[in-house]
Amino acid sequence: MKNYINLGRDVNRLDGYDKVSGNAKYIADYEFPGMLYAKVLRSPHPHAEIISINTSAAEKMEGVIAVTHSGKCSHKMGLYLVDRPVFATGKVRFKGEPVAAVAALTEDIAAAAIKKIKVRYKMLPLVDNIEDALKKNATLVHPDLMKYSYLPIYYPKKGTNIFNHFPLRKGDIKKGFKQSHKIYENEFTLPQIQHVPMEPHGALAKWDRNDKLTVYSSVQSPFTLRNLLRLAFGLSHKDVRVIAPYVGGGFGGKAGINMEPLAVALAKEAKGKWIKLIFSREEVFLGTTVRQAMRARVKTGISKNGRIIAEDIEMVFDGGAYAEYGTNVVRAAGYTCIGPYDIENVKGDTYGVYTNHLVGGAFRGFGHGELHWAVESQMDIIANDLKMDPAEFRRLNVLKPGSINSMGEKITKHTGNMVACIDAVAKDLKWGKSSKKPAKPYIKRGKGLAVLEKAPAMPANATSCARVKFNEDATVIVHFSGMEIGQGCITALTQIAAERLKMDVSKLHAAGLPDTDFSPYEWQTVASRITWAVGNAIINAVDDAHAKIKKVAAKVLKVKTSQLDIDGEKVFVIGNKRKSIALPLIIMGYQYPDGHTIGGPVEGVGTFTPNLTNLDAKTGQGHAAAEWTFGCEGAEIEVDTRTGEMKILNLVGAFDLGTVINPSTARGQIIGGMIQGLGSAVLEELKYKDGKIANPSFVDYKIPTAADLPDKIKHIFIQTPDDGGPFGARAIGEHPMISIPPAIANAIYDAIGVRIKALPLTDEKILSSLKEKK
Amino acid sequence: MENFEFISPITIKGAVNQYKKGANNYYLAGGTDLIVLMREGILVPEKIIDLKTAGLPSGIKKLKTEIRIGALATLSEIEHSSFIRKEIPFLAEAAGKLGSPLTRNRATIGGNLCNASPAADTATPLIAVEAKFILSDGKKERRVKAEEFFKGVKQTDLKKGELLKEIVIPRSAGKGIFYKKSRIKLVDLATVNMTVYRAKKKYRIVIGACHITPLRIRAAEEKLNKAKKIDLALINDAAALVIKTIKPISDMRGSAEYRKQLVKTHVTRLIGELAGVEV
Amino acid sequence: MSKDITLNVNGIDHHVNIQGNETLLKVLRDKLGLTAAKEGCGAGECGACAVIYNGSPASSCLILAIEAEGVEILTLEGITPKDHLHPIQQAFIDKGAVQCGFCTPGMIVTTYSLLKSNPDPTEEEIKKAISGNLCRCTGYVQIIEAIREAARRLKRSKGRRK
Repeated sequence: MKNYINLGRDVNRLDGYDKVSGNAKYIADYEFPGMLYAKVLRSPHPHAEIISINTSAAEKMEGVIAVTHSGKCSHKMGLYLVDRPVFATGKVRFKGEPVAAVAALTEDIAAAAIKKIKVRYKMLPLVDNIEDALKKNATLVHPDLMKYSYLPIYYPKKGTNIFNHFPLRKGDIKKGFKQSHKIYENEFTLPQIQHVPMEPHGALAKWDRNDKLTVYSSVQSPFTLRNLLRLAFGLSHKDVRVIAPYVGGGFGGKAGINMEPLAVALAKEAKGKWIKLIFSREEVFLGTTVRQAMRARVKTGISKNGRIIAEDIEMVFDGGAYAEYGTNVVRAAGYTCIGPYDIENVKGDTYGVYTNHLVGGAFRGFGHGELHWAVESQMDIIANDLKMDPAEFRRLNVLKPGSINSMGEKITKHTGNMVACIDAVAKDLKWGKSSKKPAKPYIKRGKGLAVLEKAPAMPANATSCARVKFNEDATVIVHFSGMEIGQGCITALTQIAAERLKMDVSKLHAAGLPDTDFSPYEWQTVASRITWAVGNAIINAVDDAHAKIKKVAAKVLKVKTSQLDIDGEKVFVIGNKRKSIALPLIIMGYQYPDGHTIGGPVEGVGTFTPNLTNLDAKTGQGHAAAEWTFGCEGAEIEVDTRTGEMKILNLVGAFDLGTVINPSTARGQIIGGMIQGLGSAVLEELKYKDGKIANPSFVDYKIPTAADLPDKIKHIFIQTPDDGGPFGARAIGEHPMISIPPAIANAIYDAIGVRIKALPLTDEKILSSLKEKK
Repeated sequence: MENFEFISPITIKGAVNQYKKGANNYYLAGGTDLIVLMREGILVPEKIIDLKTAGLPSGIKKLKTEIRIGALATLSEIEHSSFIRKEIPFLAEAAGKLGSPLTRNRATIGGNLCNASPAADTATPLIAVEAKFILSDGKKERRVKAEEFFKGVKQTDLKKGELLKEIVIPRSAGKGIFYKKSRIKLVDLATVNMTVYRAKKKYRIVIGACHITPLRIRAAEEKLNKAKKIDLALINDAAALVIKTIKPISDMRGSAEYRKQLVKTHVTRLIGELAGVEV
Repeated sequence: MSKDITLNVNGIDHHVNIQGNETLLKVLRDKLGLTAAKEGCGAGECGACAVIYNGSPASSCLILAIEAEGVEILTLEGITPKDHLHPIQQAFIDKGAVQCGFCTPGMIVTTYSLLKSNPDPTEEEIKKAISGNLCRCTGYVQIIEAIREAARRLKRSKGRRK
């Protein structure tokens, strides 16, 4: 590792003071004079025609200021596929869909008014799962699918519930299977799960009489929200201002556009008034987005020497009632469909289908937790059947420098070191050695591991901008619009700026929280891309500022700019440090002894654009991955074979995240992601009864508490610098969540010889699988 | 949450009188269930009658032959009470497994019992020690056996307006074990819970969350109590009787079949531990 | 019903008019401007609204404001010293125990109470004490480390004072 001043050390979080003192303001903490409070009426049915909506009793109530529904607000929204009305229009497509909304002087009045709105429904047939959605003559959730507007990189199918089909073709799949020595076919499934940010979603909106719209929102993507709001409501970008306070956890659930249009629709009805809409926890479950459910069928052909030579994978995602953002989950899972493996012949077909379930959307890992659940379970089945060591089987087959991945991208030594990740996990688990024998004969122990890869899933035009602004005393303010959603981007990005400026990080201040009127553009804080992409923009911004300083200094010192260099304190002539100008004397303009001043306040601007292409419509070949992060996760567990109760003894994850900017926050991402992964592995599932969500609360949707931690948990950094990352850094936000489920499932198989192919891996499921085995 | 009238009576009699004045009045103790139900609109009370000012006994008293727990004693008090931990550690354990520490600091044992959930964590230990509940209607008091207090899901022996005032536990040198299985380790409702108790070589077995009330399984107790020597075969027979008696339902926390499996394995282990038999 | 009551929060008596159905959390946030306590679920399941109530931590979303008259209430604002941070707060920063920060006030309030009653908790005791405070970001490991570090620092400063 190079000698960095600010990188690779635990700089304390710059937002730490605000957050430990209660000073940090979140959306619900904002109050403005004259504010109105909003409540939403939601559909009690999963699929029903709306016969009539009668709001007159609600409108007559004292204190009710505005009532709205599809009759007044018929706008549609969507990031990639514009299929979602603000309010259910014509019919409701899931239980919990907004039908109407009220703004009143108090929350109590709004809540009472909601109850007075009368809606008549006529039931429609339910599309309750993937099978329902795909069957011949299926009920269509969106009969008008082909009339919707969508980006041309997605492929909805006319007359079906399929809102996107992503095909991938590489090599000759027929030939591959023909040459195979053994062929394996398996099916894997996983249910919908919720992000469960601790902060419920919320938005404030004010629509002024001059048609200027201001929105505060708990949002991962202020600029994308601005863009989608102006599209939905027919405004100009300049007339929409989005201000983003601290976000109390996102995990994808606050990406794109969410519940903000509900507040905006009310604001439009009560012009000049602030509308405050804060979701209850139940509404977070019902009315935001969830991770899509999935069914995968994997067919894998193996050569005599244990090499994978063919793989045919079909994944079908249950996208729920609307697909607007989930469309791209299908694409992302589709282009990575085989995981980090070097396979010559591949056929992938990834579908997203509409159902009458909760709306699927972005979720930490974005299709990759789903695909790796299938792929990494499949690999374990194969290795065990071949009587090969599962770690060795992976070492033999994973991507290495020179390999060609699923999309046809060539892997180089800069892409990252997958084998090193496997080795590190194997070492920590004491792989190959039997677990210590438990005290009771009915307790069994086992070990498992699973690899993973992910690239930021984003369109080719996902761009970033950053600014660095010098103050009079040569301290610096950094501006960017990466959202601080807990991941620590304010701190990491300021460290990157400081490093490039050759200053200690204490000389910088990050103007962290974006306001679209003042902050530089940022596409979205998603896809683990912020440190990587905005970091690059910041480096460019510093270089721009330095160039401006050098231009003035060259005149003053009568040298060429190429002869100059800048450290944290001065601009100087290379080889003659005494010939220099202290930064405070030049960054606001240089004043000659006679008073004449040249130059001016120094502010650098930098942008970053990933170098990507669209993918071929028929083969999925092309370049969609700006960078890859490889990783491996492992688990050692024990199972009480009489009760199915599982205990996690050890959980370990190794990731090639390139240069580590801040070890403490990177560790926070890894451990936090692994525990979220643990929740998705053993606990979490949104359950339906008659198409209605049955567990929209913390009483019945359990996430891990501190008491549920494994006995041991460990993170391992592998640091192969990324040639395109800022100082060699690479993405790490989502990855730790991805392969915990297959690692644990593989450990269960190792312990008790039972293969569970449907998440979550509950104690009850382990027990019933054991019974079936007998 | 809709608005209501809030009453702070200063006597039990005053509380009962207020309660009886309407059909939709509710007593408030810790509030950890009541306020949730009100917030969800499941309950819309006219009057909330706060019992904390009504002169109900609180705290835990150690008398010569019995222990008395005031209905307003919080689960935290019970969990941390040094002599409950010494004399009825399985009750302290059960109290300490209910909800979260934040909830236990507010929730009262009276509230936990009067809610009459089949999965109430403090019910099985109290039935196992043959506790009696003192009920008061403001004028008269009566005692009911813990076991007979529970009449069904959310149904108790309490008459309209009547209050649970105090819990009386006979002191004994018996030993008991509480077991609770939930989806996560702590802070969850029980999938099943149970207490197995042994005093003077006699066993008592109480199972929770497997019937409309917590259930004492006398047939299984008798099987054990009649035997000269307890061995694994006998324990298995007793466990089989337990399984035969309980009628669990399938719900969000587990299927009926799974509950039966859990009860079978754990009741066997608990009896085995008390009897000193390897299972 | 509505009523004028006096709430003692952070050592100060506040005279407020409240509705019977207002929770302590709502009154703290909306009427006293003390917004450190957060509403994460409104049902006593997440711990984001924890305050010290009568000496013990409790979910302020499950306490009616009207019940709280005459009770001493301490919020994160009251734990924070006037011109610096409490050692628990500093340990949370130093040990990387903070991510999105939404659970942090409740977590610190619960820790404050734990370390008052048990200055040297074991790891198991810490896990149990914070089991009612949900965090979705950190995976709890760095929070537990921060609590241990805070305990060490508090012990050291107590030792120095003696």
